Order: sequence, then C-alpha cells, then structure tokens
Amino acid sequence: MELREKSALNIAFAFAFISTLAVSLVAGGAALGARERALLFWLIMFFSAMSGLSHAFVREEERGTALFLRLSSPPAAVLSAKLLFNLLFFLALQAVIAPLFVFFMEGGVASPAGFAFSALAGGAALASSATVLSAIAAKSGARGSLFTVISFPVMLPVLITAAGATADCIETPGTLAGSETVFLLAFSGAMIAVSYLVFEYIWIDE
Amino acid sequence: MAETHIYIEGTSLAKGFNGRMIFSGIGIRAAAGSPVAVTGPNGSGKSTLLEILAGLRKPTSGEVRRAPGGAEAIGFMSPRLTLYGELTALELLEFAAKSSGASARALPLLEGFGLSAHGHSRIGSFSTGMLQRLKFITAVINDPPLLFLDEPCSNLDAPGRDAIFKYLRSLQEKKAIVIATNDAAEADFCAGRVGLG
Amino acid sequence: MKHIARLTHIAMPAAVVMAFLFAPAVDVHGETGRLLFFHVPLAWIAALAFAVAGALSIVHLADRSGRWAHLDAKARHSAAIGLAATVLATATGSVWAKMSWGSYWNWDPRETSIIILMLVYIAYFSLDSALAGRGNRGRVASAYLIIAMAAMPFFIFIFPRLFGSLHPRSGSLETDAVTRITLLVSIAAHTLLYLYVFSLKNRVFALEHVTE
Repeated sequence: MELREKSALNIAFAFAFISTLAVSLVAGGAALGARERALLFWLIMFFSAMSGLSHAFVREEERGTALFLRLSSPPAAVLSAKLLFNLLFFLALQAVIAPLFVFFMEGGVASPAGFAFSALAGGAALASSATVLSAIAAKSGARGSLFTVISFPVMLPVLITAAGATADCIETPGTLAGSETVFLLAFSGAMIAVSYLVFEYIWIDE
Repeated sequence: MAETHIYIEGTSLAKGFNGRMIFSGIGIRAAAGSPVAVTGPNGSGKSTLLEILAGLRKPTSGEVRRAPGGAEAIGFMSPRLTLYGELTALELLEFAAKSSGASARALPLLEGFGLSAHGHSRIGSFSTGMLQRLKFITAVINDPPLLFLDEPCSNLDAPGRDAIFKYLRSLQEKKAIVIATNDAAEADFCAGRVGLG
Repeated sequence: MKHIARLTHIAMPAAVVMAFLFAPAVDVHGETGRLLFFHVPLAWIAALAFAVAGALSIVHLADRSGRWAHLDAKARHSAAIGLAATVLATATGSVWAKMSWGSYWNWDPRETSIIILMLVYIAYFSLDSALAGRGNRGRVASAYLIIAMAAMPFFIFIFPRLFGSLHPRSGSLETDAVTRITLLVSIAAHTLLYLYVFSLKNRVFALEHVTE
C-alpha cells in the first residue's frame, strides 16, 4: 500500500540525492578526513530517515485511514508490515545513496565490504527505531517536528556508532568494523523487540 | 430462531472528555433478532457510544460485554472511517477479508450493492454513495456476528438504502446489530431504541 | 512520608555543611573542588529518576486491570525531577570541566550520555505536552520512556570503547576517607531529597484529583 504513494517515496529519494549533491558541492572537493565524511554520510541518512520514515504511521493518522487499519488487521501484523517496509525502503535508499556519496566525495573507501555492512546495520537500526517512534508521533497530532524531537535522542548514539564504524571502514583497508556492526545489529534487534512489546499500547487508542 | 448467545451489552456506560460528561448511565442490549438503534441529536455522543460498544474506545465508567468476544467478531462502519483511496475496491476487500471464505464473498457483495462495475476502480474516484456502500460491504465481508453501523444509509439513494435494509433484514436473526442514527427509517428497523442527549 | 521529610531536612543541610566545611579541599582544585559533592549526586539522581520513571512506565502499561492509578503521572513527576537533575549535573560538570581541563565541554562519554539523557527528557516532555488532554497520553508517553530505556544500555555500554575518557574514573581521584564519607552522605542526602520531592509531587497530584 505504501508503494502506491509514490510521491512520498520519490520525495524521500530526491531529498537524499539532493543532500548528497549539496554536501559534496559545499565540501568543494576538499579532501575531508575519514571522520568528517562518515559523519556527513550519516547526517544525510538521518535527515532522510526523518523525512521518509515518519510516514509509516503519521500519514495513516493524517489521512484518517488509521481506524480502518486498526479494524482490519491485528496490531502485530500492522507493526510487522510497517517495519518491513521501513527496513526495505531505507536499505534501498542507502543502496542508492551510498555509492553516490562515495563517488562524489574525495578519496575512496578503503574497505568497501565493511562500509556496506556498517551502513546496512546502521540503516537497520535507524529504520527499526523510526517505525515505532513514528507510531508514537502519529498519535500525538501527527506533527513531523515532534517525530524528529523524539527520534533524535534514541538515534543519536546509533549515528555516533555508525559514523565511527564507517570512518574506520573508510580509512582502514580490510576491516569489517565488527564490534560496531554487531552493536548496531543488536540495537536493531532490541528496538524491534521493544516495538512489538509496546506497540499495542500505542496503536490502540481508547 | 434467534441465536441467544450473540449479543452486545452495555451497562451504566458513561463517557466524559476533559471534564465534560457526554452521556452517563446508559444501558443497552442488542441481541440476535433484536437490533437496537441509538438515537439523538448531532453531537449527543451516538458515534462515541457506538465506538465504545465496539471496543474501539473505553468508557469512562461502565461495562461492555460482547458475545462472541474478539476483534474478528466485529463489523464496523462509520462516516469517519476513511478507506485507502489508492486501492481498488477489490483490493480493499481482499485486504479486509480475514479468510478465504470472506474473499469469496467480495464479488457477490459488490454485485449485490451495484458496485460490480467498479471492482477495479480506485476508491479515490468513488462518489460518496459508492463509498458508503463499499464501507458497508467491508463491515460485513467477514460475516461477523456483531454489527456496529453508524448512519449506514447516509449519502445513499433509494436503491442503495433498499439494498442495505434488505441485507440487514436477511441477517438480523443471526447477528446482533446496533445502529447509530438520526434517520427514522433506520431507527424503525430496530426493535429497541436508546436515546441520547 | 514524614520520616523521609524529616530525614531530608536533616540530611540535606548536613550534606551541604559537610561539603563546605568538613571535607578537606580536594587536591588540585582547591575550594572549588567541593563542586564534586553536588555534581556526582546530581548525576546519580538523574539516572535514578530515569530508572524509576521507566519502571513506573512498564508497570503502568502492564497493569491492565488498573490496580495502580496514575502511574503515568508519577513517572512524569520522576522525569521532571530527573530533568532538573540532569540540567544541574550538566551545569556543575561543565564548570568542573572548565576548572580541571580548561574547557567547558569535551564530548567524552559521560558528558555525552548525560546530554542524551537530557534530550530524552526533553523529548519526553515535548511528547507529553503534545498529548495533553488525550486519553492515551499516559500510555504513549510510557511507551516512549520504555523505548528510551531499552536504548540506554547500548549507549552506556559502547561509549567507553569508542572514546578516550577525560572523566575521572571512580578510583582515580585521590580521595581520603573524609572526602569519601562526605560524598556518600551527599549522595544519600540527594536521594532523600529526590524521594521527598517525588512524594510531594505525587501527593499534590493526588489532592488535585480527589474527584476522580
């Protein structure tokens, strides 16, 4: 169903694309250190997540279809569907943006496999936390800014960890940034577990 | 013969928002074979009461009992229900259907309500009358024993109304029905009445 | 309740007095080092308040029969104290940092985690006020705290590995017995203060809601 709303998807992609371009323009070809590039990458990821992932639930409330959804599907199914979509969407986004990013920024990536892994793990972490947070934000008047406010504290450590991992991968050949990637995956797992535990209380509105 | 183990019952129901009581002390019982209408002027809380009875909201005080329990036993329609505009009618019904038996009912229901030509059209293009009929279909597609209908005939022309009443009449021995309404015909259909406001 | 009140009335002034008069000036920092006796307890309270709020939130959601009323309000009260404590802890920590290492902020793990905790509190209250007046306010706010709580262990866990730390580890400050005692007393006093304010807020709330 979400796929039908092509406009929203396109906007999210466009946003990520434009920010990548903008960032590389501003950087002006100056050789940025690995840390800075990693940070920029994850900033772009974060803001793309903010614009793209909130829709999972916020739009249901805005359009009023939440009631119908609630009537026709059990809560766990709703959450699973939204989670799956957010994960796939964000991973697809990353698959497009990451190569672009590497292309536009000076200096290559020493460890592409590690880069890919850490990006995916971080993306999973962002997407899994964003889904349940989007449900929370949707219940409170569906304002996009609130979503960002409540997401930031939860996601900030993900960003920091992921940036560190990515920086390592940019610098050091052959590294897989193992510990950070595991951390991010564990975080995703924890977020998904908590989401299921807590979702019903958020979704069911009495 | 009306089945006695299908009913919707509310006792001493009260609902308040932000310190303002909308209604209180409401008792209601709808059983298979005796549908009940909830009547009252606009704003008297009919929709809210309906939602409480359907378990979509909690009352401030009082108790609701439904037999059979469970979310699958409930069919609900309301003017406030919004359907996914970008889906086609058949897709939406497929989504709402909780079993293959239910899916099989989609086409016959669409025909019965004169929508068979629009099965593959996007809901966003439907007129209000068509939407109303489709909403009714989504409420009954799973053949739930308990029906909660909020103004089921609003926005409908005469053929549409007839179709709905015909359908309800054929079912009423087997289902417990509560209708929230301002409309005389809808209220008359029901054996019992609860007035609000 | 009365006991806590009385204890607090004794303990807090005692802690203050001890901090200023009893304990010797902490080595490098001179008189200003006494800040330690407030900074550490404040940070502790910030964490404690969060844990309490989180625990209350869990019980609030788990309690389907409504046996314990208004746990969400209590969680909110704890969070409010926590927020205040976080702000103060950050402020005192920042001053300390300036004195010890010359700059107000350094992004070391402890500092970062307290900032994150502050962000969580701020987000919580933003969410809470956006939900004002709605029936699901308590549940949704509780859900958020639980999510934040689930995220916390990860941050605490990972940080020391990622960054070097300027923050003194517990054993590294040269402390003598007197200083340690003072610190412990201060921590205890602050805890009592927390409990006192917490119970006060709860009681005020209960009084306001007598009609329910």
